[in-house]
Amino acid sequence: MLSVDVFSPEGLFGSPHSPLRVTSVYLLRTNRPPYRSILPERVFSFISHPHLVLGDFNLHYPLADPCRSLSEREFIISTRYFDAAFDVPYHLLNTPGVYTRFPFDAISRPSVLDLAFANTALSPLVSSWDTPLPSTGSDHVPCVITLKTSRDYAAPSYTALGPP
Amino acid sequence: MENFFTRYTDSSAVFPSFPIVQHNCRGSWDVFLSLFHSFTMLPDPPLLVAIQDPPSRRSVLPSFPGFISFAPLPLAAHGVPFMFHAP
Repeated sequence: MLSVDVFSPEGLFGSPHSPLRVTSVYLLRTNRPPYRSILPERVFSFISHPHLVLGDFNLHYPLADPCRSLSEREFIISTRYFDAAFDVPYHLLNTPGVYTRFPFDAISRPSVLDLAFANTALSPLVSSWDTPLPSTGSDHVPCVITLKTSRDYAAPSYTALGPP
Repeated sequence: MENFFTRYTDSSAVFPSFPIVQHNCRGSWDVFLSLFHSFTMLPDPPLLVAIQDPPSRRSVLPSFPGFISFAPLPLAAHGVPFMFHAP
């Protein structure tokens, strides 16, 4: 888990909300609760300025993948993370049912494992979430999130925050 | 690659939007390079790329022209580096 703060002298979004924080996560499966490598409370926490959380969550949840038949275990594990997100609140940016992983084996089903969440301060500034790029050879597809800016802005600067 | 830092971009380039790309590279150099080459298909290049499970060699991240990478050092297995566009 790694975060960066992005800031621009002019303000990225023409609003007092500055900077933009982006947090990247990769949740690995573990054998102990919550059965993923990062606690949900560490992934989703209240921040007053715009915050984007994105990454490979390794979770199956009906809101992201409405057509998938979930096991009870899958649902219990993912619900803890989505409840933590909704409590803050963060909003899911994925288009429901748009797959982000296409497994190479013939047994597994396509799934929605790559998720992006925006907090309340960022949500109005999100222009789109999409998977417009071709396969890279990974079993995941690249996801592109575009944020609306109020005007052209100079190249932003970044501060890496690191894992908490 | 740099450790935790503040990067002040010195450029006169301006951008009309803020595209961010996220991708699990599965530790593959081929995937990494395919991803960055595919950015030519986007209307605007991504300013920030969030990578999960990047390829690495001797804990050093791969690089790509026009982008600067940063992640905690040494790079952990299944790390999550960022790469940002540096015009």
